[in-house]
Amino acid sequence: MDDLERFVAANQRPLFAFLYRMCGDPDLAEELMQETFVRAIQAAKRYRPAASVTTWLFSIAANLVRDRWRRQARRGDPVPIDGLALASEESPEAEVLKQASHEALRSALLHLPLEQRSALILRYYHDLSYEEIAQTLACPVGTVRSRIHNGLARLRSALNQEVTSP
Amino acid sequence: MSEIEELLRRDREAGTPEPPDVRFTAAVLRQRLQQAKPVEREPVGLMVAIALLLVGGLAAGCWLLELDLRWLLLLLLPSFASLPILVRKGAPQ
Repeated sequence: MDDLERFVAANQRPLFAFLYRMCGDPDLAEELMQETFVRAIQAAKRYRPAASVTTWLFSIAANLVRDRWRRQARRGDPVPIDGLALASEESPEAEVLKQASHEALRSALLHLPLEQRSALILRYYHDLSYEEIAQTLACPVGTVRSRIHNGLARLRSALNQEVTSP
Repeated sequence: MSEIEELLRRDREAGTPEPPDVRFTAAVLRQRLQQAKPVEREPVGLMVAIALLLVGGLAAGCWLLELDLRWLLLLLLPSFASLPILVRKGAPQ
């Protein structure tokens, strides 16, 4: 196994998982993962050891997803909708949410705004701290907190609608 | 932990699709890296040269029109907008 294969072996599983959850499409996730690796290798000199390699790769990947999403939006291709309304009233969430399937959760996750989606995925699927997420997404820690808070609220609302709608 | 957080945790434990084989990914990367052009350096030198030419041209204009060269200091104001670009940091786009 050469250096490149070792680098890929050490990083492709979390990177692929992140991209798959961001896009919901394994083929697209694979394409973006390859692009992330290419850009990382080409920009290796700019890597700052302050961040872990995985965090650095996540930040490149998040930029690629955002660029892809913007290109799709410019071309008029369907993109995730940013405007899921928040529930205005309390509901018996505990019972309702237990019925939600993994598919419903993933679908709701894919309909979140990109910033909230990436923050939630990095926090709950990759165990990154708020500081690491802030570093990855190049934003303040307070912004990460609010994105996660709002993302959870939107998810709750979307799942409630999913389960209660006929 | 809220119900949503619990759902996320359970979804995480349910797993994700397997990534491609490491050797396959590495082979694709080798091919793409060979085909890829080296990363182009941002033409900072060219931008500086153009800016100097502009300032020089304006200075010459001021001199010809017998205007006070201190008016050129006003050029600093619009240049503030370019500071975030010049000092930008973060991951490669």
